[in-house]
Amino acid sequence: MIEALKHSVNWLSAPPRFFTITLAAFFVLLFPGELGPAWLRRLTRPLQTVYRPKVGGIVFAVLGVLFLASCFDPNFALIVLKPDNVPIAAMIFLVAFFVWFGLKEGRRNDALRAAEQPIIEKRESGDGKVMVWPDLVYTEFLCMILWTIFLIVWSICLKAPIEEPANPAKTPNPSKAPWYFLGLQEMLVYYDPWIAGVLLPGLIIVGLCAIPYIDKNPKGNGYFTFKERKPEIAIFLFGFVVLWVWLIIIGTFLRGPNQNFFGPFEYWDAHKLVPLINVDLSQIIWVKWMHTALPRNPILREIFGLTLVAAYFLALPPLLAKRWLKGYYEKLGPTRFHIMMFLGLTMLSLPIKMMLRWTLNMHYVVTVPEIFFNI
Amino acid sequence: MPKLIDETLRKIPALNLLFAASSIGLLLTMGWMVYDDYSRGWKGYQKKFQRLEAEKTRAQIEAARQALDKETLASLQKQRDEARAAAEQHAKDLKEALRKLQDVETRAYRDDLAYRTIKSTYDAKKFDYDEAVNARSPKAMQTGQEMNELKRQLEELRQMGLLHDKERSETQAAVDQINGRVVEAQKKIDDLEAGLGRLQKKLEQVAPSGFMKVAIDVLNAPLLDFVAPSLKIQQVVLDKVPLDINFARVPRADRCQTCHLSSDRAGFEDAEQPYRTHTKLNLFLGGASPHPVDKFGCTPCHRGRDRAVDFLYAVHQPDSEDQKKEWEAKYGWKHDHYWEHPMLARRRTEASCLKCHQGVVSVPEAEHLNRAIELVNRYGCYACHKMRGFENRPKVAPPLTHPTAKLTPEWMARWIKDPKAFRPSTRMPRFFGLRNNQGPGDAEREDAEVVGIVAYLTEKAEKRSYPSLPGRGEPERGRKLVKSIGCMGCHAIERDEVQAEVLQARNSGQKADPIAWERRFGPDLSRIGSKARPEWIYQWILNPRQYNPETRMPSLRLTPQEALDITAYLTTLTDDTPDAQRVGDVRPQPAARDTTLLAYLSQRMLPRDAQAKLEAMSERDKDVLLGERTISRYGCFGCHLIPGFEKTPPIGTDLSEEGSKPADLLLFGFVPIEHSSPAWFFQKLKDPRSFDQGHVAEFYDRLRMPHFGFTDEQADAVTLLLQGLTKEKMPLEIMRRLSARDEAVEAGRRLVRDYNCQGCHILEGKGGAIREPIATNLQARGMSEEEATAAAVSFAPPIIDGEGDKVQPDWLFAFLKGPTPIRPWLEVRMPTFQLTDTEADTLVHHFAARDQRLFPFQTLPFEAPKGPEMQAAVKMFGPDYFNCWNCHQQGAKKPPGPPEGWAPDLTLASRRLNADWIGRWLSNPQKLMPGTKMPTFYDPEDPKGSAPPDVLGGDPERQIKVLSEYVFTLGLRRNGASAGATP
Repeated sequence: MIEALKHSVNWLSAPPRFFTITLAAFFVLLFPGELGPAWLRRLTRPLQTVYRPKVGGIVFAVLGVLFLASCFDPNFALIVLKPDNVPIAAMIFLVAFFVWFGLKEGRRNDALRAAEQPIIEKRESGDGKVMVWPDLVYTEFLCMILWTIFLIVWSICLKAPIEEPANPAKTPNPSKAPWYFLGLQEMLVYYDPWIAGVLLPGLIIVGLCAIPYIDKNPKGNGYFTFKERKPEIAIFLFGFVVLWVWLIIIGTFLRGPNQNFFGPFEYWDAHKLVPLINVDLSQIIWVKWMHTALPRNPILREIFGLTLVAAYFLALPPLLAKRWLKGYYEKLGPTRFHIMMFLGLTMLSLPIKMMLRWTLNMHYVVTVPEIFFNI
Repeated sequence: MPKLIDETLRKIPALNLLFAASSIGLLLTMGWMVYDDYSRGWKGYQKKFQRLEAEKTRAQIEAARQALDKETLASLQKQRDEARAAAEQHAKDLKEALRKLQDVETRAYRDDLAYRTIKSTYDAKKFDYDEAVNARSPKAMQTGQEMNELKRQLEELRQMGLLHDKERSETQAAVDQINGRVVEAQKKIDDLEAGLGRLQKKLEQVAPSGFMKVAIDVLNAPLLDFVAPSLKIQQVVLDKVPLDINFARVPRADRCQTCHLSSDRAGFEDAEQPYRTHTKLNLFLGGASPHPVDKFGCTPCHRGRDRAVDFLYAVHQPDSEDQKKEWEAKYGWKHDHYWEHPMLARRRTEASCLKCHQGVVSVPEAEHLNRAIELVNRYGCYACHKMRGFENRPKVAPPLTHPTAKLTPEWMARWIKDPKAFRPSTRMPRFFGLRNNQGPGDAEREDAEVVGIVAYLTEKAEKRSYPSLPGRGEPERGRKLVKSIGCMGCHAIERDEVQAEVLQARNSGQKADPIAWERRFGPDLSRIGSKARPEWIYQWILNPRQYNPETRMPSLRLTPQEALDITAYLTTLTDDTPDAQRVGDVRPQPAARDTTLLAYLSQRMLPRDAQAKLEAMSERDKDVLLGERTISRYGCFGCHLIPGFEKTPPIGTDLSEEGSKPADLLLFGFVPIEHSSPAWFFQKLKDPRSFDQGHVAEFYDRLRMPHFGFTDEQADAVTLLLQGLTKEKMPLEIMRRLSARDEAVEAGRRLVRDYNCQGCHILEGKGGAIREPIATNLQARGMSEEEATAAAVSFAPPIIDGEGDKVQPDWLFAFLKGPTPIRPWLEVRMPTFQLTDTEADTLVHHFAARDQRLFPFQTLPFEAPKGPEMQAAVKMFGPDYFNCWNCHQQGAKKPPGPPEGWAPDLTLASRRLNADWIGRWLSNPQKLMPGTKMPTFYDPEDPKGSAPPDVLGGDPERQIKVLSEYVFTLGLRRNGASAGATP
């Protein structure tokens, strides 16, 4: 019974399945009863109760118990309880909790506002002001002491994970980046190093810098709200939770020797073999579908990929502005909208490419090795 | 404006309470942190050792007290007390003298202080004066005057000092006169108790008491222990034997002695670990040993993490399963995969000798390692695997260039299929019928492969056959010859010699081989008659080189009739394998053969073409082709010379750096053993194909290493050797380097090993295996077991340690090239090895170098005895005293009595022996050759008393000198050579 459960968890942890589940869970939990056709809304509406403190508490308690119970599995414990992985395990719960907490408070404020009652922040502080001393400084000081105690105890109980001297003939397997770069390392699997290592990280920074100039919504300053900032919160959380934290968790717990995927209850066998045959889009279209040889001319060869990429970045935004995101376009204006679309589509290209890899073994959409140009 | 001035969001008393609680919590965690940092396992070991040492010192003090000569002490004390009483009577004088002494001392001190002060002022002034003169300063004159004044004062004070010295000694003499005997007696008492005093001082250091104890406890206290703690890490930094951490070679810092505190001190042999003294203190750690700890440390040999001061971090390795269990319970021991050089299990520590001791046949005192080297040499591991230190070794198995002259194809097939079934002691490993070829169809394929190998070998064999035997031999005579002339030095006939149950137990791996290692040099002859053709046996024993020019089998100079007799005897030794163990007939398997060949051919061509090619071949050609493929796959040519494979490189992995291979580069498959390289080596040696277990593989992709049938002991030894083959590079100054003399000794040792000299002779304390069959022969002639064992010594070939000292190089060279009998009473014959000149020369040089003799030329100092000395020699030689001719031969003249009492021809002495050796031999033959029949005429304890009293004044030295000179002249006179010959 338990073995079957572990097997099914392992099965569900395969990347395309796990990613789909994550994506679905993300949207359903962010907008319970708000997205999709009527039946789906009806179906997901009960999930709104998650944001009630009691229900949320129970959910977290259940998750915690499941996590602790999993630690009885030797393979799970081996990876999760490694001293260097402990903070990442904690991060799963911390990120989940604070996201939940923020959304919960926001939803509560929204409800209070709808009922024309004072919001939480107002209730807590009366006229909205509290004393720096003792309400701020004293509590900060206490936090500092408690945190110091925690860090000392941690450093005594978990020994620093120091390994053998570096050996060029025997590199660590798996070779992993520091935990905060595991998202980047994961991107390297799907994109050319120039894109994954230079272009995308650059755009992340540019995009973060651009947020204050793109986000014109002045609401939500100094108080929790969800209703007033739905698109902003959704976009940010998608980038942060799904495309960064999720990738770190994947990179830490599911990527094993030889960068293979392993389920959480699977033994990290360095000899595990996984078929890896990747094909380019040009090969799929020319060779597999049209049964012809690849054209010699690189432009002709890559014509489909180039068209697809051009359509994605050039044709899609105007279309969106006209049809589905009309309101958003009007809110931002053309310049902001197109910058936002470029950044947003670039961000979305990562999960798209991941799914293409997992489902079609797609290597590159456009590949011109003659000039080291690969997308 | 804020209106709630006095009201805060949180309750201050609650915050205060939390603050107090968290502050206490922080204090406690800080304390915990300090304690955690302070409490180290090694401190506990050091404290425990202090107690141990104190206990030991107390016991020593007690023992010293017991050993003290009580009577002497009492009498000395009495003397002292009497002297004291006598001194009392002159108390007034003594007091006066002492007062005067004190007065002198005071004045002397005062003047000396003044002297030293003025001396330094004078030196400074002298410097100023020199400078002033050099700078032509006007002040020079004045400075000069001041300097001279100081010099005058200095001289005054110096004389004063001398005066004080004189006064002092006079006064002291006065004191001594009164008090002297007291001091003298006290000094004697002190001397007597010196050992005790030293021990007490040591005890005070080891287990301090009172103030010192408190002070040391303070110095060892947490947070204060950075100043000068008594508990501290003991380390030795070794830059000569660095640690290779891949990107750099860093000095080792061996901290082992932090816990193993007394490893380099005698006296802790029985202490529990970690305090036990090193088991070979004379070889290791000690300052006078060849491997002092400050130069070699611990980890260069034992491995493990040098800087660790914790049981687990040092990567200790258990020596046995029991110890592993014990450690797991006691220390939570587990395999540490973070350190690439785990400690060697204790029984395999000798593996480390290899990295410095290279180019030698055996490493002194490294018993296990030497065993491993012998095994690798005998079993020929290097034939398939490249191994450092085993380069350019000869092939271990006979050439298969013309096997049909010797063997029948039927026998070959059975043998190849399972060699041990025919000859359980063989070193030929088993290739077929092993555990990774047990699937459906595998048995048929392997039969086809065996048939193929035989077909290939017979097809390619040089056609050679031998004429039929020239006559008939007498098996009984042949048997006697085989058992007595020396065959048994290298061969055994185990079914004659050992009980069947013992052999049975050996075959099943429960008992060690009952036959001596040296006598396993050549094959066991138990069933030779069913193996080799009689014509071949006859020709082979007459001259082995004519069949196999590379063979190490020597000629025993058999006459044709002797050879016929032996052949007749050996042909009677036929196969008596019990049916249960007999290998079934190897039947041709055409279908399996064709499938197998198709599989081979299809690797490189279309199956259709392969099929066509196969159909065009004759049955015989198919067999031959499969044989060729099989030989090529299994690498038979590594050990055997096989036509068509003369240049093919061996098939095994290079093992030269195998000991450095990380365990995760070894495929453990599904075999449930520890994932460490020694465990893998052991498993591979014991069951080479086991790692295929559970894997799907085509037959040509399966593991190929054959099964040698190693015992646990053998597999463990080879594991040791493999662990020693590392990529570590030691600096030249650390390596054992051979001098020219050592090289000469080693070159000889290689020949001694390759020709198995120790099968018959005892050399360097080893060998002489032939004594056992000789004793058996003697028993067959009616001696009791004890008598036979004792007599075997005189019927066995001599011990040849000291041969370089004993014989002349020229003679030895000639003897090795063409042996002539020296001891006619021996039935065993020194074989003709057909040594090359180089080999014979190497051996002679070896013996000369071992005994520090010159090689090859030397003058033999010698003077023939004359006149009375000659008469004395003749007298001692004669029946009055030593009666030498009673045992020794005199040219062709044999001594009276049975041959077992005979001794070598003394007329050969001048050509054979070194003159000085004869003297040493006469004075103590048992020392030079233990067990010799030569009587000891001069008692080594009392040569004077045992010497003939009426010859040359009973002086044993002169007698021996004259005797040895006389012996040396015996042959000379007969041969007419002049005295003082130089060979």
